[in-house]
Amino acid sequence: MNDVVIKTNQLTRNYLTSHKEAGLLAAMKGLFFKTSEVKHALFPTNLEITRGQIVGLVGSNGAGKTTLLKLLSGLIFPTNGTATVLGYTPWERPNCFLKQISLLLGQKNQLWWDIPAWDSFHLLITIYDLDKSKTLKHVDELATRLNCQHVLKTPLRRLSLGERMKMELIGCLLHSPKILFLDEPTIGLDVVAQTNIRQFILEELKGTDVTIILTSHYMDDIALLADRLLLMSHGAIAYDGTVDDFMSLTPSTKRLIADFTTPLPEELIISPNLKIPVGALSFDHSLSSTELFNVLRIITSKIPIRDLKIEEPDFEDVMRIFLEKESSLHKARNIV
Amino acid sequence: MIASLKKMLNLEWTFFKLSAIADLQVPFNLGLQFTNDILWYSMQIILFESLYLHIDSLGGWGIAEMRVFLGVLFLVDAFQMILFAYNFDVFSEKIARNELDLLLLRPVSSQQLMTSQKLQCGFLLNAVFALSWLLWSLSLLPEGFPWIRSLLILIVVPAALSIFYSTRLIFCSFALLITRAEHFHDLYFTFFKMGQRPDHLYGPGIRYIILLLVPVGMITSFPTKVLVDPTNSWALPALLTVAASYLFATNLFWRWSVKRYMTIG
Amino acid sequence: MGIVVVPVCYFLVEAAFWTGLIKASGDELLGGFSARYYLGYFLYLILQLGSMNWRFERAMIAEINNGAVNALLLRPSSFFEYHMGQLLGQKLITALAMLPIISFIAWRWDLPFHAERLPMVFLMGICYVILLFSLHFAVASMAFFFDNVYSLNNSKNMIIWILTGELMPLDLLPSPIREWIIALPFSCGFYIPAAYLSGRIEIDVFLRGFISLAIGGVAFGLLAQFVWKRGVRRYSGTGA
Repeated sequence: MNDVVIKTNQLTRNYLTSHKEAGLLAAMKGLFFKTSEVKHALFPTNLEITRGQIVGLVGSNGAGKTTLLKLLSGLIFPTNGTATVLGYTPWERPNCFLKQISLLLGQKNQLWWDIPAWDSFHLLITIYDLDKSKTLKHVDELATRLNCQHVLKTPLRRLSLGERMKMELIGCLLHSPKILFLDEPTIGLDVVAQTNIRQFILEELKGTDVTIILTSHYMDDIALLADRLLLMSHGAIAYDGTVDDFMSLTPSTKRLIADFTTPLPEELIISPNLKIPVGALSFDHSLSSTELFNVLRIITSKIPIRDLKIEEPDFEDVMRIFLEKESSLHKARNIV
Repeated sequence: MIASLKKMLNLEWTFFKLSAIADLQVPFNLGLQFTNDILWYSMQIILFESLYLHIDSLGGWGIAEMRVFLGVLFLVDAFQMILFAYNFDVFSEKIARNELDLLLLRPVSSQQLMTSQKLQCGFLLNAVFALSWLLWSLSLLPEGFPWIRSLLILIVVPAALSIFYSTRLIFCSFALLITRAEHFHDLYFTFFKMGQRPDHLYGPGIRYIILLLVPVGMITSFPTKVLVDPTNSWALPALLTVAASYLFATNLFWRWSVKRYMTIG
Repeated sequence: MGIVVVPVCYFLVEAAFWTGLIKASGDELLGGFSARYYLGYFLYLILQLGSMNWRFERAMIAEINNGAVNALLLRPSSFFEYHMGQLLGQKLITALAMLPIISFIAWRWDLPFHAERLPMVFLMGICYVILLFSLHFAVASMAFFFDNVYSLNNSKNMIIWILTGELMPLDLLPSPIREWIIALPFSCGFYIPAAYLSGRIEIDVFLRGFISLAIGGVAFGLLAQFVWKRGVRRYSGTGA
């Protein structure tokens, strides 16, 4: 049964920021004449997330992702609107609510720096009133699956970033939370560590009752894990749907890359907007599906080709195009 | 309420164990911590022993009473170094790095997590030294000291610690409300320094400030009065009343500061 | 605001203590000096030339521990010059900003304050900052060798605090300890300039302070250079 675990109604968050100019005179002027402006970190937002969904929350810096995350986890009060998470108002932070959620921050350590993670987990056992022997067994299982059992008893400061992140992830899952907020869990990790963590989330958490809100700047995280994509731009949700549907939104283009055997002896005009200059050794352009065949026919008939590639746009490219378009639309709205 | 208290004590015990594990990673540091505090004790001893070379009495207290005063100062200091000092020292930094956010999501008191998570177990040695000094100085009181009265130490020292904790937390909590709060740390120690001297040395205006407004003057002076003067019947009730009310007020102030912090974001 | 308020608060605390102390003792003089002389002595606290900035010291140790020193090692100016420049700048600005406050307090409460001695006192203050910085630099450089140098740094600061006379005028100490401690260069951090400014000592004792400053400065400078060079050679580039 798909029950709603997170629901927001016109949830809004504004900040009052003081406007300061650069320079010494401006700094001194700012002591006496302060100008403030309202920053809309989150426009009125209506959202419903069902149990077991993995929601990828993406957007450029300053889009409002962290604000939404903080509101749903109960770290800040909204300016307007309401939200219920597991039936509770998150910013009231009742203990029974806090025992059911967990937050992992990719750039922060929650475990103690100077002692092994194994010892830090004892603190979490006390905080969450967990059964000690069961929990330690659970730690062993999680560590085995994350392939980090051998470093459980090494002080955290001696671990690599990837190993530390695995320990943090284990710490987040000890009390079996119903909602997991993952804020950039793979940031700064090497490729192998990123893959390990993604695989773990995919195999151990996807398809279970655990609802995950995942923010990441790595589109591979979102593409592989997210059931649902929430794309935020300038404080509002610009897209809410699946990753596949998002991919189909953008016009279908393909990238044609051709390397020539010899430099082009004279300029080749393919179309009024597309020319290959004299002396060129390669051709690299994004073309629509209709243009592609024609261009391919002209190039292969007129130029000796050494290598030829046709690339589909990936999720990251589509995301970038979408965000750039959103940004220019936002600027245009502001100018008007 | 009993369940909450039990949980708090259980958590504190876990903090102690983990802190001991962390401290034992750097044993050289334990020795240095002990040495540093002994140096600080020596400074206070040198100051007053040197002063008493030039005077006989300070507001009715001779060198014997002053040594008891120093013993109380050392003991309270040792316990605050064990329980709270490290946490308060890094308080502003933690707030600046948004580490409070992580603690607010735990189903336990954020106040306890912020103020007493990391203990400094090395200062236990200093507590032993301080207690020895205190008992030795009590034995040298001119009118004698019935040893049953030493049980009062078990009441006055926790009360004094509680006042220290409350006053320090109030100053540190400003880090939740304003961007740069490091100077509140210095300001607190300015007041605390005044509390490290007998309160009767100061004029009435300053006494009002350090006994009622920011009651650092009660941390050492009043426990000393309780111990050295059996005829003093008001110092102990005053100490306990201020300790309890400030602890209550501090808790309210903390909750209000956290709410403001969550509102400002 | 903290730069102004905090030193003034330090002075007020000492002023309250020493006037209260002398009053409570029942005598008008303590160690041969009246309460006015003690207030004049502690006016030097406001200049803040004699004390090291603890936060600044911790920052330098942290830079070595976390590898931020890498960026500074690649700059065309030395790490020593970089931090010395910062510290001297901060001290001078603070001291100059505090001068009007000191002058006002001395005038308002008629405290012994020989303003004509200020240039020499400033000179001693600057020399002392350089000496103290060299010692601090040597201790902070031990962060190349040890994981945790903060406690060692705190020990050093504690000892210096006793030796400078910031806790109490050194002439209150019993003889011969008094003479030994005044002979050390650390007394130039507080006791000698403060006592000279307030008229507690005269020019002969003051000038002897420069000699011990010179000897101490050379010794600590060499120590700093030695520890730093060995440390950089040993440095493993943590966090690079």
